Amino acid sequence: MKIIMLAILPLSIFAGSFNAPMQAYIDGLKMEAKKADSSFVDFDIVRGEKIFTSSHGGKRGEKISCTSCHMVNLRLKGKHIYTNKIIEPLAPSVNSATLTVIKDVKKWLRRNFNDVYVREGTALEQGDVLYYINSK
Amino acid sequence: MKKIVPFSMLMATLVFGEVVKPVDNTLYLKECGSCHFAFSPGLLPKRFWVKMMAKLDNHFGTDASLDSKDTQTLLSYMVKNSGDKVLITKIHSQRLIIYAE
Ligand code: HEC
Ligand code: HEC
Repeated sequence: MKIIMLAILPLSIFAGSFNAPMQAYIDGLKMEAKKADSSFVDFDIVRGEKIFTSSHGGKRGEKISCTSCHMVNLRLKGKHIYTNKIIEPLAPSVNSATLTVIKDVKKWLRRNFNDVYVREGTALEQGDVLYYINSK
Repeated sequence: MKKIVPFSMLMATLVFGEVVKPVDNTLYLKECGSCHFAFSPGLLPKRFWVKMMAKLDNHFGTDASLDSKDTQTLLSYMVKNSGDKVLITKIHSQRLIIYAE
């Protein structure tokens, strides 16, 4: 029991460290997720990783994933697959600007889910993937 | 032959064009410079920009949508600085023709 707790602890510390407005946004997503599924407890980094790394049909009809532009290692610079523009790393540990402004986070999640999944992300998916990015 | 002249064509127009003024609008640089270099509004006529901004959710096959307030703010800046003397033939880029009529 003790061992399991220790294993989980470091992840939950990271996942908890959003700034106040972002935390309020996450709490809103939690309420939405709970409404959609009453058994919902909390967002999950492992589910988020799957959302981030798996490939899908994509808006342009070719297989892409979040890692196509943001890389598998989120601490590295990314590259926009359609324009080759260099993208600053998504990991908050190396880029303190990410996941700090709700308006920008919402905008990019809407756009990027549409590009990869050809639909918007559910509250559960958005929360999971934000926990995953925030753990990096 | 119809060929799709890639991205670099507009850039070349910018570099070698005579009348294009540098982009000086912070919101424009942020929102139109995040996926690619921010093209100067002077590169295209007003009607191109109006049409492009009306369907940002399908912008060259990618979702570049913005809320309506920012869309409007950007469009007024773009229209004010648009290049209405730019000839379509000078643009060359076939895929921009969808915005021409
Ligand atoms: C086609 C390229 C592309 C793909 C695919 C992509 N992104 Fe992005 N993403 C970007 C760009 C460009 C930015 C803006 C970076 C900047 O402003 O420096 C961005 C920004 C973000 C941000 C905002 C960070 C912040 O706080 O400013 C988040 C969150 C994000 N992406 C998540 C995702 C997720 C989740 C996926 C998969 C569903 C994904 N991205 C797929 C290109 C992409
Ligand atoms: C979410 C990413 C994204 C954002 C934000 C974005 N664009 Fe684009 N834009 C693209 C992509 C992708 C292409 C096509 C690139 C390719 O296929 O080579 C493109 C192409 C263009 C082209 C055509 C260039 C050519 O040579 O044919 C223009 C002009 C343009 N964008 C203007 C804008 C303006 C103005 C804005 C701000 C309102 C903007 N873009 C915001 C992704 C974006």
